[in-house]
Amino acid sequence: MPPPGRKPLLLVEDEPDIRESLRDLLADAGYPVLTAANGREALECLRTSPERPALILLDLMMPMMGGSTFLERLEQEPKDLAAIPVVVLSAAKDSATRNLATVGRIEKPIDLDELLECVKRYCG
Amino acid sequence: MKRLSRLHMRLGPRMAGLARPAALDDRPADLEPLKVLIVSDCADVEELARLHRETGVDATVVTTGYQAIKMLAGGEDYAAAALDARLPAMANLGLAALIRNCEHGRNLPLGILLPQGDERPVRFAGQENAPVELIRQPLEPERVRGKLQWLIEHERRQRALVLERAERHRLEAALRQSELRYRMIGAATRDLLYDWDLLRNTVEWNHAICDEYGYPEEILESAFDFWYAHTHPEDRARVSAALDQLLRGPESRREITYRFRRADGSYAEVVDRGYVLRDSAGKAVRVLGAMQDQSAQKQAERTLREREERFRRGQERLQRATQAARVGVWEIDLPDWTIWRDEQHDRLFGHEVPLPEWTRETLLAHVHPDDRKRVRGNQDRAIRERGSYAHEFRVVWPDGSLHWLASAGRTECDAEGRPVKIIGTVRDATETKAIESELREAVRARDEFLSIASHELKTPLTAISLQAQIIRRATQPNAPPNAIERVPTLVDQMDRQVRRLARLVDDMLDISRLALGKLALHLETFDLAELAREIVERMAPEITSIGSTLSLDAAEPVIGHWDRFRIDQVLVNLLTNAARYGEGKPIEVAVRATATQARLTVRDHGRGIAFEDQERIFQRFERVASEATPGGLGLGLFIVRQILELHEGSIRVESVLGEGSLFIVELPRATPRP
Repeated sequence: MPPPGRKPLLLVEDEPDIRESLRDLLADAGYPVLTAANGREALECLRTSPERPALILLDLMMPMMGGSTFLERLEQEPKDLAAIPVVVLSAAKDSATRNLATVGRIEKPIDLDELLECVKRYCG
Repeated sequence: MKRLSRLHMRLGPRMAGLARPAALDDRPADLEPLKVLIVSDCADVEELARLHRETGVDATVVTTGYQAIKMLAGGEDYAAAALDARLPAMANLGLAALIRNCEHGRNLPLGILLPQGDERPVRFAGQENAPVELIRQPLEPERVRGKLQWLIEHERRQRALVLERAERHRLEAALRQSELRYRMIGAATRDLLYDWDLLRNTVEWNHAICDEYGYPEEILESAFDFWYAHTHPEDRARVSAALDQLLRGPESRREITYRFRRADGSYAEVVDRGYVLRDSAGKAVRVLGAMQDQSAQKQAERTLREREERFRRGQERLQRATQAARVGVWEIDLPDWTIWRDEQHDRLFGHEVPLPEWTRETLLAHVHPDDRKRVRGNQDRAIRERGSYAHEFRVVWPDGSLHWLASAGRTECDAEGRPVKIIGTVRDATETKAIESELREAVRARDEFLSIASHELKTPLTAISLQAQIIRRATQPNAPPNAIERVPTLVDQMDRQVRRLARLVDDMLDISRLALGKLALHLETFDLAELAREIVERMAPEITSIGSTLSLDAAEPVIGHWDRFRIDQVLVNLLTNAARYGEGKPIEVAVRATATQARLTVRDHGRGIAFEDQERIFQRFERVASEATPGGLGLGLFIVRQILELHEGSIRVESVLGEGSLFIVELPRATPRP
């Protein structure tokens, strides 16, 4: 069970296997997890969620709305949402994704220890 | 009777000619009429003079010794003189001695007219210098004339002899002169000169026979056989025939070309110009000639011809090459910009018929407005820097079409370094530009593919990696108790991801095979309806898992001869796409047949494909949109179309945005060509 008072994190990932595995793992580690399959769902989730997430884990290449577009849209959201730190889960090593306004970056395939450490930093 | 008269009668040469008796006609025409001086005061001298004149002799009569000396001293040239011994001046034959003292009398034949009974001895100084004839009385004019005539004839013979001697001398001098000239010509031209004496059958050569042909000096005069033997065997018959004809006449000149052997055994190609001399009977007695060695000249002519031929062929080749390569050549004369160019140049600017004139303004008017500044600038800079340039620019043809041209030019300077010319070429670059753009597009598509491929391959890897890590954690002692329960699900997921990875790798291999033309079909007879059923059953769980439904309409068996594995691949691909873009709505598969065709359709009710994208999706590496629509290499539909085309079948799509897509596959039921 997650310790009480812990803020949730938002996981945005289109690949169901990855999304579900990460959700289960983070839940086991005691973090409340919100999930979205693409950028559009993620924005929707942020607007409707009663509790503001402490961190967004964001995949880049997704259908409907990819990670880059989501980041642009996020900037236009109210300040409390726009200020949420974003860590990119990236398969691509190209430089274009490095200039994104994000706080961190975890390369795929994902190392779980690295991920948990990162999440701990932002969510306690 | 003594009649003193002074007669000086002279007949002009013309009248003398008319009056001349036939007997004297063979006298040399150039001789002056002979003149005789008669010194006497006897009345008969008139008769004597008349008699002389009848025979064409110019007789001058004087009556005193003084007059006689005066005539001689005046330079008159007499053939003979008759002196009357009765004259006072002839006392002691003084006048005769005086005459012998004169320049013109020193060798003058003299007739001395002696009166009857005058027996004095005739002796005077200088008597022996010339004939002296004593003419005794009676002095009958006829007899005196006879005697004088003898003296005259004598003198005439003497004079003829002198003339002949002089003539011979002159001829000899002329011969020597012509001989000298002949040798000099030989030396100057290196011609081989010869003098063939037909009577002796000897040939005299000039020194060229030694200097130019290498023979020893003893050959300078040799038998005709030498000549004949050194004529090339193949030319002998022809040369002999030509010589025979020359000797027979009537022509006296002949030119023959033949080969004449040098001492070293090589042959000279000679032009022999011969001139034949004949005797009074017309018989050939001598042949004079010159042999000109044309070997070097012929070689030079051949070399020149070859060089010209090579140059001409080179020119032709260049022209053909520039035409074939569609390269135009141009030259700009500076500083006034007079432009010369070939026909190809104008063709490249869209003028099949060359323009009468081409100026810089003509050029710039053809260049696309956006490129003018650059073209002008490059040319100006090349002139300024005495350098070269190469640029590509667009031109608008008179028919309005757009073409790319590539032009290169180089500035040439005079001795003072002033630019005087730009020369260069221009060629069509439209095709090159199109290829360049295709290449750029291909590189872009490849880069995009690599980026997508990297993502697509990493996604299953990421899933597998995560699942493996979770399984490891679940098996650790401090794992939550329920963690182990999820392991079977995780293993199933891993299995699915591995299959997905394998499919991606297969797609990439297929692409590689298709690119190399190595994708071979393994044909067998099977029922397409049955295959579709199998695939639908196989795919149903996956499609159901994303909230969609899958149905099949295949009432009748559709038997055909196809590659089962590849047709399986086609349908799986179409279903995967339908699931990916179908937005969870029902997917319908149908199999139908006509007499010749099998028809397989896959319909979804998803987002649909815009009309402008409907062809593009069948291209390699193409997907409708990259970021918003991931989940594929963009190879699926490309491979599908390639497989169907190998079967001589086809695929097309009918789609409306927002309403879904219908993919229609048609396959011939007859066996396609192997």
